[in-house]
Amino acid sequence: MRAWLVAILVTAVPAVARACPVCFDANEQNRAAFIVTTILLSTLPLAMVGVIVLWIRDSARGPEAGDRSTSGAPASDPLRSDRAREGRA
Amino acid sequence: MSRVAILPVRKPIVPSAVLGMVVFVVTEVMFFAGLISAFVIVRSRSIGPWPPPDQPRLPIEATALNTLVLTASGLAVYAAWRRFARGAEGARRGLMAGVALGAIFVSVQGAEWAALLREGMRLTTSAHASFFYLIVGAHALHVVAAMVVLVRAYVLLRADRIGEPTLRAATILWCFVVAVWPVLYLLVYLGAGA
Repeated sequence: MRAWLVAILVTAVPAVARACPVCFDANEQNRAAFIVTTILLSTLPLAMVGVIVLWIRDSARGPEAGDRSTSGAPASDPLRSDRAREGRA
Repeated sequence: MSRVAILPVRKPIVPSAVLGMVVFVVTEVMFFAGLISAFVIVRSRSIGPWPPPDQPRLPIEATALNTLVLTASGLAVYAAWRRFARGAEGARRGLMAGVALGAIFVSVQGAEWAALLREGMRLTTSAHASFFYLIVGAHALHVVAAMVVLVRAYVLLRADRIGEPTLRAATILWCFVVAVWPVLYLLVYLGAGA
């Protein structure tokens, strides 16, 4: 019910939307620059996060991912230093 | 009889050092993307030729050679990491070569800046000069910081106190500063996309 009320209020008070004087320009080159950079800044973070997610997913599917050790003492002490825990490949 | 809880131990899916460095590189990519976007828009709005004809000419040829030097340093560091990951020798030499070539790159950039300043191109001379010093200067700062990380990795490697993920994280950072430079060179020096 509240959603309907909000929807009615939103549609009942329209105003004219004018082009932004900052990003609209009669110059074709400038308009193209705005469009290209907007696309770049919008899609770049999404693409990078997507790549990271895929990378983590592929790493999780690897043979060493989620290796569990329940025999006796823990295989590694989380309080040990980076070099001691990871060792040399 | 006392009971001891034996907790299952999971290895991280990806090493924390590597994941942290990747996240940091992502933020820095957006930083440079913002600078590049601002540069492209200001350049498109400029009245008259870009760069302005009364500005000193940028050293395109010398910087092209410098770009090759930086690329070589990236390959050297990458090769050093690969050798280390395989347990082969030569990782220290590759790291030192990468640091040395990076130092050459920064030195040549500094010399170029000094020459441009002598010719009268300053930060406030024009929008072109402002963006040049801002973008190239930001990249130079990143190169210097990445060199510090590489030197630290080298010291740890010499003392045999480094793990593969730590070296991989340092390599990721260095490869990032190497990879972003050709983009900046094409845009700022060569005026690509104008």
